[in-house]
Amino acid sequence: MRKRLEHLLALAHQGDQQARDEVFLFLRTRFLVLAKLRVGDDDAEDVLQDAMMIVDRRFAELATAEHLLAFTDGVMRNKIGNFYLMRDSRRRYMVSQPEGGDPTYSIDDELAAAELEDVLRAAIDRLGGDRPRCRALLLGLCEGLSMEDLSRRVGIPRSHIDDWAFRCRQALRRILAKDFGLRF
Amino acid sequence: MKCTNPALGRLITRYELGALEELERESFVDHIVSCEYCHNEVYSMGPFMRVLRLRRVAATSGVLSARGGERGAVLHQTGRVVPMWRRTPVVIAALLLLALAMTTVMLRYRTSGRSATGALPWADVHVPKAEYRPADHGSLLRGGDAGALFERGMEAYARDDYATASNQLEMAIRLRPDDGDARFYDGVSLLMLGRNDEATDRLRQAVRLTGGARHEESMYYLGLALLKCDRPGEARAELVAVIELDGTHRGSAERLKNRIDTAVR
Repeated sequence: MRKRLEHLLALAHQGDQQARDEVFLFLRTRFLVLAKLRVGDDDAEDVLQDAMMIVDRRFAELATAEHLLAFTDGVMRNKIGNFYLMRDSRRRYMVSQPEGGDPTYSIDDELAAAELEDVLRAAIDRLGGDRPRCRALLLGLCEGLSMEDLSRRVGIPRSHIDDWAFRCRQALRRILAKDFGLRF
Repeated sequence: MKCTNPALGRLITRYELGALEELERESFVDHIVSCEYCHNEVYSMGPFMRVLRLRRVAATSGVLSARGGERGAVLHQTGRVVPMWRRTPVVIAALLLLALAMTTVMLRYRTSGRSATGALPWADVHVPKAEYRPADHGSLLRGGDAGALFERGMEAYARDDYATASNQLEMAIRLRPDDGDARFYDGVSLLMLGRNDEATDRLRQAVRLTGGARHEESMYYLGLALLKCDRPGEARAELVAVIELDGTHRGSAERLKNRIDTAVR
């Protein structure tokens, strides 16, 4: 599917309207599912439409499938954050990416950009309380350890590291949701 | 929602932290374009994993390639990782795996009932194109995007462009998972493309979701798909069920069942 999407993108950037329509149909299909999960069926279409308008405006800058998805992710995050803001009337902060065409995204709830790292640090510490290997694994990845060094440090066979990393990530996510009330 | 390929989906954490080698990263990006589950996961944890990734970038800075900095929630740098192919244990493991794979293939050839020429006995079984008449599907309301995707898929199907048909129908199915007709025609398209294992899965779903004549037709094509996958026992069971329904495909199912019985003897 990626090759097809890249092909359609290339055609769309050359002015092929049908290809452009297909790209946007793919985006709509993918992000409608995401929007429904986050804001519910009733409001998903509105949020999606707002996001698609921005993607449409910036379309010429989006050369690859990965960049297209990354940019649309950011726009959706912004729109969903705005949606929560309007619905919940909470204070929000906008975090801007460095110049160069990257999207801005908002963080909902009471969380400011500066607090994000504190929350994450606390969540990883909490994770370490129950699962010390998970903490060691995530921090080891952050330190840039090679797979061999990681395997030695954490005491997991190298072939199991990805499975462990995924489980630790999911455990971290559960802690962020349950203990810190973060909305996913 | 589930990951469509857990073997690739398990790379998600290292992907988010920028710890994948280039080939692994390309494979994962290929995967995330088509896997809604993984895309949703990357989206969900984006802000948090970005913090960790930046920490990793800072820790490994000075040995990165000159590809520029962070560009977004999905794009990232590979960091300092020794290319896998240069690691001796990996080379040895690869050779052992290759030997094992060749042994498995040879054993499979010996037990699959191939003829002396090496061909499967079912290779020449003809898969007829299932007829599509738009009027047949007027009773199923397909609004909005699901309807548009289905229509596009069937336009491609009508002109024998099965790859495009399958692509469009897959998207229609995501929006409307209970659409048995979309699953049926997607299954037939995959069968026409020779993607027999995928066709089998899709047609099984169609059998479950459809009724009446479509149900019988789905079972018949499932039998064909199973035969093409060299699973004659399962194919025969489906064909017997089709015969018992005594519908349009009874005659074809009987002929195919007799052929299986003759080949197995």
